[in-house]
Amino acid sequence: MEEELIKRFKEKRDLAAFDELINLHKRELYSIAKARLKNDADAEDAIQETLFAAFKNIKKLKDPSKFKSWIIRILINNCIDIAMQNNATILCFDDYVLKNVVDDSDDYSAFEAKLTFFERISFLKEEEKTILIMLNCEGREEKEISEILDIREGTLRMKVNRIRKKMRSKYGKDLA
Amino acid sequence: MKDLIENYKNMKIPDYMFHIDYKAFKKRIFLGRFIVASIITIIIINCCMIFAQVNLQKDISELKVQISKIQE
Repeated sequence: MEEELIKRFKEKRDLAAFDELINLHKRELYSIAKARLKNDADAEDAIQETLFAAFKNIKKLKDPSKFKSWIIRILINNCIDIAMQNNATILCFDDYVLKNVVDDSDDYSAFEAKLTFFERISFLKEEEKTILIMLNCEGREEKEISEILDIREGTLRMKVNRIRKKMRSKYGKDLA
Repeated sequence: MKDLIENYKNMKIPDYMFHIDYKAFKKRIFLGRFIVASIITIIIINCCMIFAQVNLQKDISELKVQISKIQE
């Protein structure tokens, strides 16, 4: 399916095929951008830059089966660039909630249930969030993730264990 | 974790972020190529001018030698 769309776009410059191709990976691209950048505007910039780079350079992609890894790699690099430009510091949502939203009378667990996906994983570092999204939510293999993030598989396993520990301490055994 | 993954799957994706303005993309690609082509052209013209200048100076020095010979 994906390879066929790439072929259609490369050979006939079929824009509808490119649209479809992007639609297939929307969720993951959006979640990785959101995991790495603190606001929607920055995430939008990173995504738009990624779409432009993909549109421009898709001819150079030799192996169409690796399109997803390729576009995620571009997105991560764009996110790093934007974060460096903005000198972005990621505000931990927990701190924000404790300081601004929840007062003593609020039931924290009930409040937590209403949080969005990103708010729930906001206590993790950007890279940890990316790993969590790719490994647990998208069901990617460790080898593929280590290739995308350009880290060794051993290092990745270590990071996965660290994430599990953090999740366990945050949400209890059933969520780890 | 199941809860979290379900949360992820039910997450709403803002479509405006994925809106692709192909005209703008094509303009950007054209502009990029135009700038690169302009820079390359300027470099080539400069090289040609330097080459011509060197040749001209050689010719001038040869002419000077010839003039001095004739004067003698």
